[in-house]
Amino acid sequence: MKNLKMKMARMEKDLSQIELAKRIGVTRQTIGMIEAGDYNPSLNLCVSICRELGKTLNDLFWEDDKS
Amino acid sequence: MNNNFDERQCQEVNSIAKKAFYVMFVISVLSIIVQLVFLNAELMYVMGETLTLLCGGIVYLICSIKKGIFSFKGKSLTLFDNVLGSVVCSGFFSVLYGMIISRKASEDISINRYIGGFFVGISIVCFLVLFIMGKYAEHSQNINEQKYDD
Repeated sequence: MKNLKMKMARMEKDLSQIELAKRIGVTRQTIGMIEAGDYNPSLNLCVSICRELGKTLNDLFWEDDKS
Repeated sequence: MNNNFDERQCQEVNSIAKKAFYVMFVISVLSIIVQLVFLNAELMYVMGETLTLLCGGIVYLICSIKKGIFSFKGKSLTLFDNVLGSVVCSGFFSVLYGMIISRKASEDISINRYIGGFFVGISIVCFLVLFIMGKYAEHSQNINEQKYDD
């Protein structure tokens, strides 16, 4: 399932995939795959992404039952 | 190996390495069997593959057992599983052994006794190895459970 919340949060911060990847210390491909729902990041990586985007784990990675 | 991989790359590299290991392992086994059984090669000529196979297999098993990982389809092996595994494995290798020595033995010598001895011997060794590995893995699991117990 695509992670549109993360993509939106990144765009709100005006960050490209490369910039976010550099800040977190991963590759651009990894960010792309997380946003596309093709890779499940570890909790540590989720926390790093949330910190960098100023969001909580709930904001970016929690899926509501309705959605 | 480049240590600058991110976690996804590490996982993928590990997955690739695992597949490559299995392929190498299976090819080595097939290579040894084909050379010994069908090409009549001496054991000396397959020493390299055998040694590589043994080293790789032993390292794999020891590392797995140290981490307490020794199961089949997610379940620990029972005594019956150990016996069954030993007999099946020994049966397979005894057939190969029989094929190898039947070509080399002269016609007036009965090889059944040797094959029978080989089967019994390998079965016992195999069972003991499986049993000891199972017990050690269980011991490692208990140590880890105690280490991370609340």
